[in-house]
Amino acid sequence: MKKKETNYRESAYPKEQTKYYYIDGGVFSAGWDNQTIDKDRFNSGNYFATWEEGKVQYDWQVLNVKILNSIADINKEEGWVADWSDYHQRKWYICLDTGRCPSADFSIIHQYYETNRYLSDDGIDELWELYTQEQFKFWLTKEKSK
Amino acid sequence: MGTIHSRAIQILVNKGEIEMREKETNCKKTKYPKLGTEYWNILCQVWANTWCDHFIDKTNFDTGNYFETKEQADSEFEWRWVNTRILRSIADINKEEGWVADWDDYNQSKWYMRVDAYGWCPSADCAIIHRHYETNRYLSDDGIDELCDLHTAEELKFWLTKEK
Repeated sequence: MKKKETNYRESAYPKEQTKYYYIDGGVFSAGWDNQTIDKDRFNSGNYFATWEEGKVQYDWQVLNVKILNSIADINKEEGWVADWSDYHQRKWYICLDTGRCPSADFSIIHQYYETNRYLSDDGIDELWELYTQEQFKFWLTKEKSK
Repeated sequence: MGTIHSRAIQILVNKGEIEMREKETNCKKTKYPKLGTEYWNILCQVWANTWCDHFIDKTNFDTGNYFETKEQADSEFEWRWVNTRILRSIADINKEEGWVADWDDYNQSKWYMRVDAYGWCPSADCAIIHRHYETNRYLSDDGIDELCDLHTAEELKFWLTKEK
């Protein structure tokens, strides 16, 4: 990783006293003071220009935990584990189709996500029953239907 | 007896209703850690905590900011830095090019990174209409090349899979 570290674009930190929002058990605001704590939040993605952006991230984190826990529960009950060296095993996941609606698709060798997002043939049906399309769409895109 | 039996049936019915409601709201009862359990969370850095059933503990747990080990928290923290850097690279590249993913345009190639399990290495693929991610992860034909030059394969793989 060190090889290309110098290639990173320099992050343009916000101006002093810029109000920003961060998540710490809820969405809170702070003024940019150029302190380590501000920079750490900024560099770790816990920096939001508006309260609304912070709230979207917060809501997404809550939903993400719920869905990942559901997937873990389903896979645990089935004793199913995604095996990327098994080129015959179908690994199901949720994506958005042409109509911008969530749909299920499977992968054999191409991995789009962390392994904890894949399910078996039966598992994907079970997951599908647990959440609404709106929730899946928000999970995938952080966008909410108007 | 009849009353007890009726109550037993009533309890079963109620249990069934509760299960249905749980499924409807898709929230299985959360199994919070035991009192006194040590865990780690991320604020601006990685911190050690002790579970005391406080609402902050529960919020950490519910939002995925709960890690059983320091190693898990460190890995997540490192991933967040990498994620932020890569997303900023993508935003910068797209901004310079004036490129925006348009999901109504079925002729526009929208490039993104994935991992090819044959070689366990990141590779670029292009979407037209099927979408896997937030819009802020897609690039143009030229943009994807630039992204690959900016970040190592190891870093991109860690970004995609959280695996090293």
